[in-house]
Amino acid sequence: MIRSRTTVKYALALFVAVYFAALPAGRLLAQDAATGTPMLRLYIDPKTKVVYAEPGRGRRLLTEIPASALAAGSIEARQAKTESQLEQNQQEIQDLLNQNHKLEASNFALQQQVSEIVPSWRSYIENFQDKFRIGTLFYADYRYYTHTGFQPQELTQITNPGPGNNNYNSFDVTRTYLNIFFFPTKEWELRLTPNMYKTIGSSNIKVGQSTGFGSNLDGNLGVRMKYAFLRYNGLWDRLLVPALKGGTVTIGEEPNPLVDWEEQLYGFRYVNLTPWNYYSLSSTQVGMSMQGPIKPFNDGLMYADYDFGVFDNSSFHAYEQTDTKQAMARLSIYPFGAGWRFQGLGITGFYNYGYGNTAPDTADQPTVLKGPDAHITRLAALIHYATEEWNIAGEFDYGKNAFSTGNLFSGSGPGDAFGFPTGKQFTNNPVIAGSFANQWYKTGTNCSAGCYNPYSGFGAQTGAYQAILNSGAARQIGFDFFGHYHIPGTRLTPFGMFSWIMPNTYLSTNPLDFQRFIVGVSYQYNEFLRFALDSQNVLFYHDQMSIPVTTLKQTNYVPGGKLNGITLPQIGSIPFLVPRDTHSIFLNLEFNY
Amino acid sequence: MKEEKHHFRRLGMAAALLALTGCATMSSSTTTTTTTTTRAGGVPPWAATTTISTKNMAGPPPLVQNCAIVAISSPSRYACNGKVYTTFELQKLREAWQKKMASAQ
Repeated sequence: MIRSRTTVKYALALFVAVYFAALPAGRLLAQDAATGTPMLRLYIDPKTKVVYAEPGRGRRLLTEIPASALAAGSIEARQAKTESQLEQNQQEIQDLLNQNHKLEASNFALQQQVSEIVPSWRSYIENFQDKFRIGTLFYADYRYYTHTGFQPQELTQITNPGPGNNNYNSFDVTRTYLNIFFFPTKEWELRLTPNMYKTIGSSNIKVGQSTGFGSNLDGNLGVRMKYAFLRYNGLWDRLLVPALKGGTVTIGEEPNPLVDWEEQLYGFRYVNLTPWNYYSLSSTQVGMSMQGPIKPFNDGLMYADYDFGVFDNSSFHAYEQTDTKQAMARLSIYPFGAGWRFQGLGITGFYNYGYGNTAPDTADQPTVLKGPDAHITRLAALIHYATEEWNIAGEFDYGKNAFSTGNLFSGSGPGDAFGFPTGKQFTNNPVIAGSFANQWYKTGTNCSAGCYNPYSGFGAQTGAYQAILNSGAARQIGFDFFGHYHIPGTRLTPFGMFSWIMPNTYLSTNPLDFQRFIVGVSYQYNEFLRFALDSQNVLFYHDQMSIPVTTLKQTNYVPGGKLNGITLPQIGSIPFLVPRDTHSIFLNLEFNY
Repeated sequence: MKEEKHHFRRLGMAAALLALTGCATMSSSTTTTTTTTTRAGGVPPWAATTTISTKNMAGPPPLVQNCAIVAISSPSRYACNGKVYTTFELQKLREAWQKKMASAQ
């Protein structure tokens, strides 16, 4: 009975082995007629299913098998070969499995590495906002002058055309900060702030023998760096001084200790400058400083804050020429503690000592009066009180050589102060006794090259102003008040500032004493946008006056000296020394983001 | 005991100042600000803001016009009800409140 092919093969192999072993030697296998190959023929009885090696009645041929195929050795050889092949295949499979395991392990390791990389990258992107910040501050205005006049600039580099130009008006952009901050780590901050400024034209240039190019700076809005500094805030944490925690060290082009602080106390810098900034102190210096809060108790309140540093004598937009430096320091004390900056009662003191920006080989030359080379002192003492709805502050200012004609006329001044003679000069040669010119020039004076006529233009007056303010021995005293009050339930906040400055108290009556007052109302449109409508006024409050040349000699005035190549009065009095007042209305805008 | 010591110290300083300035009345603020060190662009560290959340906002949020300027910076900071907020935070609070009111109507 045949069960499977393998069973048949083994059965046939066994049958052939027994058959050849049992049969006589002469008995041979049947041969294939074509090839003569010995063949084994098997017969089957269909009824009984028995297989016979010989033909018989009822039997039919089942199969013919070549003897060589049934050789026991051949089958075993093939079996061995198959088994060998199988073993080889199994080995190859095992090798492939091992390789696969290795690949899986390698893949797992790779996936782990990738999974570690992705969060770091994602973390960097997600935390990018904490490492970088950009913001902007934009000031613009429309101003209208009912009365123009000579004065300091109301805001950064805005000017007016001087007396005799009433109804002058202008749209201006006075600030365009692009604040860029980098915080590479928790302790370091880099700030870069480009800002625009209005250029005042330089001279035209000659090109070649017959060509000229016009200056393109006049009135252009240029861009310059307002702030560029690096700040470190981890010093007191590392030194384990908790009372000074939060203090910083700053190096670069940075806010000075007073102006930026006072602007934020006042809150309306987009309308007008704060007192010392208006008089002469730039808001920005190049140098190094330290600043921070003082919280000596564990109640979370700030009881003082400080800011002090050493800086170049030059302003941030001029070359440094000196071999000295200026120092500034401010200390604000809050006796009841402040929950937030400026809160409650505060007392502030500021002191600045420096020198005029002059190269040493010039500053060291012996002169009677040092003029612009003299040392400069500024002092401010404030008492202030702030709540969330209103604040008020009073300030006393003291200075030495801290207010020059350059400051007085930063907004507008007589042409004579800038190298352009004004008016019609005397040209008598010689000056005759009893003549009109004889009031100011000695008989016989040669005025062929021009002698200033005090009744025409501002030349003689400018000579007097420069002597009063630029001698290097001028003392300033000033008083200021400012504040605001938010009307509850509205977006309106009236505000105001009053300043009184006496630019040289060594002169018993100084025609340049003036008061400034600003009064207006601010409208808070939203968190980023404010408007203000305000009146700004400069009042030279003395009655019109003349000052004798002999009195002016006590300052730096040189009778018969030269200004713009033109002779200044030698004798008599210089009249019309009190400048005209300026009155204007501003509509200001602040956008801060 | 420690609080009493601070209180007397403050009173002493206040008395000295009253004598100097002659001010009639003064209210001393006892508000304590939670100053979390939020990175501030160009702002002194003591003007750091208080962490805020628009969730579970019970009443109307502080409005910028009712607040005091703490720092004009990027972004600016205001003190409202004794806490310090950035302009972004105030805007967020206001808009969340307006949305809440609009959906309640």
